[in-house]
Amino acid sequence: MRHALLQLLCVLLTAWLPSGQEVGLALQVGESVTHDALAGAAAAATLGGRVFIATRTGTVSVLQVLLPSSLVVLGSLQDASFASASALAVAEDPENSGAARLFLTLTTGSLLSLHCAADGQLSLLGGVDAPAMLAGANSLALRGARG
Amino acid sequence: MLPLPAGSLALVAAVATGRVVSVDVSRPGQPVVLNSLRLTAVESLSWPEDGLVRVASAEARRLTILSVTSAGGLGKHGSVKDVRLGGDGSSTARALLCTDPSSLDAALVLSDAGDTTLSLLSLADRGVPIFTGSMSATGPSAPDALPDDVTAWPLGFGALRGAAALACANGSAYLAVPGTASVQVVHVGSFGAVYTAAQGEALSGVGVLALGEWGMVGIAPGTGTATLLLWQPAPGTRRKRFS
Repeated sequence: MRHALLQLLCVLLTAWLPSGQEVGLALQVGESVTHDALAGAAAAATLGGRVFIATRTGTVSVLQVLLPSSLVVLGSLQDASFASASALAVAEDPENSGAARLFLTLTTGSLLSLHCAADGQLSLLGGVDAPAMLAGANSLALRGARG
Repeated sequence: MLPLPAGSLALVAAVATGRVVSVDVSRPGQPVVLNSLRLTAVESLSWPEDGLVRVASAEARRLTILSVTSAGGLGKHGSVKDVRLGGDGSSTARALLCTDPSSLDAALVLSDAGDTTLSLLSLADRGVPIFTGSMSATGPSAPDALPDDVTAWPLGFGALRGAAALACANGSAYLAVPGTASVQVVHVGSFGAVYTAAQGEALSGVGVLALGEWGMVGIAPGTGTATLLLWQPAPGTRRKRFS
């Protein structure tokens, strides 16, 4: 009861704080894109103006943000193993300007690496299969990357 | 985001093995498992620039902080256990974790406790987590009457009910609530108030959020729809155009 009263008091007090819009918290809804390759989305990550999405239908896609408010699908890669995708992280490819390296965990216990060329073409580079360690892989972070 | 330097590491939270696993990804075509650390349970992790790894688990109802060496060695730094981090504590409960790069002293965890609960934990004490507060969907209700512009008013904590995705940026936690076709926002500095950051039919069913410099993308797995959500620009500023 005391806890609930404190929470209520907190809400009432913060009613006098600046609104979400005034402090820049609000978001403007831009364009949407609907694509078969995005159905069953399980994980996503961004790098610059690109959005990478892995789905449980076995597809990894790359989308391009075109400001002010557009989003287009650049390309996708399908592989049966991607169907157990659970987490995705991305980093710049230090050897190729405009390219990216993607890392994808599978709940079956694998970590896959993919390459995204500057033109959006995706390819599978390789991976490690270690179910004794990685089974149920659910979350992924790279050094220096956002969690 | 920085390019991956040689010796780069990936960390994976593996639910089935209860392990956090370090992997050398310096040769992307040939990742190599280096080390692992077994915890009571693991679910989600983040690894921001301060180098401390945050690991959340609903099953263990715990947030654990790990340190990691450049060779992928993992060690426990500290942890905190609280029922609000885990719902019923079953293996099907979930605890989503995020860290705002601009506010590394705070960690936010979204769990099934009290239907849906957002918890705030402080890491200001040398990286040792301290439970600071929580907002449960079963908490205070929204005001009876809302103005037309709902973004201008704080909502009841029930606005968090059913939140499916969590992303942290700009000192705030953004939560996708598919049932109300909205993204709600909680500012860490005024933790205890929920605002609507965006709402619209396009956000119906959004279950995945991906943050970018320009805002975020909300993805609805059921329909295969991705929707662009852009930070509201400050007056007098222009958005960057990507080539």
